[in-house]
Amino acid sequence: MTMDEERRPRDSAEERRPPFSHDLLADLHAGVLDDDLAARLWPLVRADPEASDFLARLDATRGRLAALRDAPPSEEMPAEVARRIGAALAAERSAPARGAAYRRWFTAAGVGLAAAVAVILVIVVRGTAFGSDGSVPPLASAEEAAVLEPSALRAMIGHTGLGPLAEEGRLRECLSANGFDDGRVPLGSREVRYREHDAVLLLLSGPESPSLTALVVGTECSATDPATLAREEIG
Amino acid sequence: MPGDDQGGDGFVSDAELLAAHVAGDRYAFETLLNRHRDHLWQVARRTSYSAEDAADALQDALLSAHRRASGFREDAAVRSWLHSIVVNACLDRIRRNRVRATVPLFEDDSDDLRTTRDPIHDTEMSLDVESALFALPPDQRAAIVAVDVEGYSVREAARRLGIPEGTVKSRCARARSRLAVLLVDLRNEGNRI
Repeated sequence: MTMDEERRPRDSAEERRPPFSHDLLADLHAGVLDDDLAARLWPLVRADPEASDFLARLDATRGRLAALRDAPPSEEMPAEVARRIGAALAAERSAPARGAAYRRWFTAAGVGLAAAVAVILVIVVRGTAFGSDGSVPPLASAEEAAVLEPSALRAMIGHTGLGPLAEEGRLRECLSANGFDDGRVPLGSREVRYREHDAVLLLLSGPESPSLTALVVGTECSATDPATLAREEIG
Repeated sequence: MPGDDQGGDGFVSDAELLAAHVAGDRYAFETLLNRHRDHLWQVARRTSYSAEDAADALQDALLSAHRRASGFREDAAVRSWLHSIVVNACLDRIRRNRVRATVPLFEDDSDDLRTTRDPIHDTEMSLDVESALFALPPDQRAAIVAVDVEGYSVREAARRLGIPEGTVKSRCARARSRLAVLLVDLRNEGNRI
């Protein structure tokens, strides 16, 4: 808290005669000044037409602010924000039930996407899609599997953990190397240890809303090296 | 209230959509949000320090509403219910960021103001209230939005924001003083929004 935010016992002679500063009048109006000074100032301020006029403007300002609450919006929600929230809600629908009522709402609706997430995560964890030497890679460690659980993916949405890809331009170059040239911004990201690689797990909006793309890349990912470890469409 | 529950003439009201969501209609909640998305975004934007914070808080709020829909009270308007959840999520996020000592440095927000809102190069120009709010420092804007726009008491705003009541008063005073100067057409044009 700065000094000008504290309750100030100001009482200089200059502050007790016109012209009163706007800040002093606003403090008086808001009840910031100590009681003794306020009691002395109010009669002086009311007797000063210019000060009274400014107090009226403060009151009117409050009135206009109050009316703002239900005013029609003047700005649209950005498309990226809408996509991100849509994806979060889609992931929410696939979440395990939180209670009896929740189970009742979403048992049917969530099965499809939840099943898709589960199947795809098995593929990701086993690495069959992106095995580098054609052999079946070893199963992911329990730690890797935990990182890639559906609940971990859901928790990623809205969080940023890009590691080395946070360097200027690196993320865009990496995404471009992986075929994402459409300016998509990750819905979430997280540094992970994946198949003995330092890696970054990126969650992107999929080609068709509300699908998601989970992309695991090595931290060396760059414009010339996609360093792809896993990539799957979800939902 | 604008955009609130509407019924009759075959139009599905907000309350009916929320009830359908609770009953298991997987598209009802998105339909409801589509009706109010711009309003809720604007609420989040003006109540948050930055656009990024607004997006995070709005997401948190809507996920919360999605889960808590069965607790919605029939005597409240659905949009007001969503509105309140969003405001509280924004204020709570400001408090949490402050507690964690990771309050966003305001450079990003300042850039945002200058590049996208850019309301005041000239303090003599007449501004609408929404634009004028974004001429304020974010901490002052959050305080005055909580108290003057949303109608929170100083005590409740202080609790939500995690700051002393005197700080809320002081920030509101600074904000009102600046807005009163910015809104130069106030007396001539009444309560025009």
